Amino acid sequence: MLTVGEAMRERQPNFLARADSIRARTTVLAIVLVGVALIVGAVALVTVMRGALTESVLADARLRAADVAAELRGGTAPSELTLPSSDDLLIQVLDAHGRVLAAGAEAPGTALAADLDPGGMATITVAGDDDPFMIISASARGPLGARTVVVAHALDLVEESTEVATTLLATGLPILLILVGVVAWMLVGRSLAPVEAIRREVEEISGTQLHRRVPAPPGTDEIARLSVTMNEMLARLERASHRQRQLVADTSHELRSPIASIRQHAEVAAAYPERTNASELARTVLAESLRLARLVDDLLFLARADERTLELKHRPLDLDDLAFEAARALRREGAVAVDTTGVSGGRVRGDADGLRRVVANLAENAARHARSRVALSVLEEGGAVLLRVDDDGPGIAPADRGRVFERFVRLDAARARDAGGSGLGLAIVAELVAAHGGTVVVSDSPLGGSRIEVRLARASDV
Amino acid sequence: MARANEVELTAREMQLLEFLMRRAGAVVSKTEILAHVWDYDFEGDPNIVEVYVGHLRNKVDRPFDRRALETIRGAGYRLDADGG
Repeated sequence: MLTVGEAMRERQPNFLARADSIRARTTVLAIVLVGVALIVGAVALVTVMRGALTESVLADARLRAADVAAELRGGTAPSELTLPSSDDLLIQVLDAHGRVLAAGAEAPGTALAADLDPGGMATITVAGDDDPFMIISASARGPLGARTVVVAHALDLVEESTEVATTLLATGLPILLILVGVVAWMLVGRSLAPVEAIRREVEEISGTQLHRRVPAPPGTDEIARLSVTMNEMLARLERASHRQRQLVADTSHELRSPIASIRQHAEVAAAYPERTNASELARTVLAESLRLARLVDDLLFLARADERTLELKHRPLDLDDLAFEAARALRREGAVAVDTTGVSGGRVRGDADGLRRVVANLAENAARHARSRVALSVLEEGGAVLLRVDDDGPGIAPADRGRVFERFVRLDAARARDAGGSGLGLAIVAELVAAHGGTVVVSDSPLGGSRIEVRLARASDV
Repeated sequence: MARANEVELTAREMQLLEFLMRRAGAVVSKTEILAHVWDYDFEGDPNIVEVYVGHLRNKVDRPFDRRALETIRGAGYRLDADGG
């Protein structure tokens, strides 16, 4: 079953078809930028070309006018002039009153521009010709009086060239822009294709498929790095999810055994009331429910630690007092001999309940694994306070020393459970010590077993 | 009393100061201190007394430029009844 949103995505599987895609936007941007640049360039090109051609026509006209003016100055009568003639070039010689004294074969008999100042220029149209003409005049004072030479040069070459250039550009530019658009579309599409592949894969990865990874394009560009980062994140999610499932499984397992024990005793008591010793039943139920309560407390504590919502009140605290307290508790149980001769003063800043739990958990853990002796010591060393808890038990293999602080890790599962540990004590120690900015490490004890050493910052007196 | 003169003591420091004040002017041995402030069957490092005396000096003597808590070499400690 698809939701409405999924159905819409299904119908439009290609994200590139969407108007809001980077591909479309980049292509449009490329076309607009290149188009503006090309249009500006084309307009400039045509303008400059037209200017240059007009300039050359003007120069030619002036040259012709100067030739005729020179002849007139030399005394040649206007009627004797041989005026060059073509339909592109019209030449007239006027007298001081603007009357036409001589004209080229194609030139009209009336003045082309009577009011043009000598040396001036203008653009005119001539009857019988479509193209505009550029007209100039030059004065020539010869022996026969003042004359004005007027030369009109057709601008058809300029117009034609401009037209050709404009036509070429007008057809070439759109083709070029289409080319730019296609290339940009393809290039952006090719570089974004891995992103789409990554997106599609991530979309399909559900909570139960965290082993899947997004495709990693070769190289080290931004997209390759994105996929590497994404895969690292997926790996973290997978580990977290695995840990979570493991924890739930372990927790259920741990909760099951005290519940089974209570149930079994209750069933026997119900079946054979006459053979049931009430106080013995009560003792069993009490012991198992204490175990349950402890386990639930520990789990809640770790959950709060995970959520970073532990409420720790940091105050100056004597770690030696906590060590003596833990030692007294162990001595009351009487299972092992407790040596506290190494306990000297150790002032830290920390949460009293939290650190009491650290010392108590370490002491109980040591007592569970010890054959006969546990030693607690507290000392100040430089800027640190060390709490050491030693036992003369079997010790912990170096390879397992980091693992003992994980949740529900028991190096010898069956025996440790018989000894009553929840499997969470050292995990809680690790969380609390970390919350106090300290470290906790496992090493060998001079007593022969293991030593767990907590290092916290020493508190100053002021 | 001005707040500036307030000092914060831990429980054990308070017990030690109280014990020394009750015996002000007299020399008290380390063993006596351990028995009264800690435990009659104290099983820790006896050096702990020196550590705590050090803490106390840092808190009640040094900031006020006094030497009320004397070490009597080979015998123990004495708190000056006049406050040093």
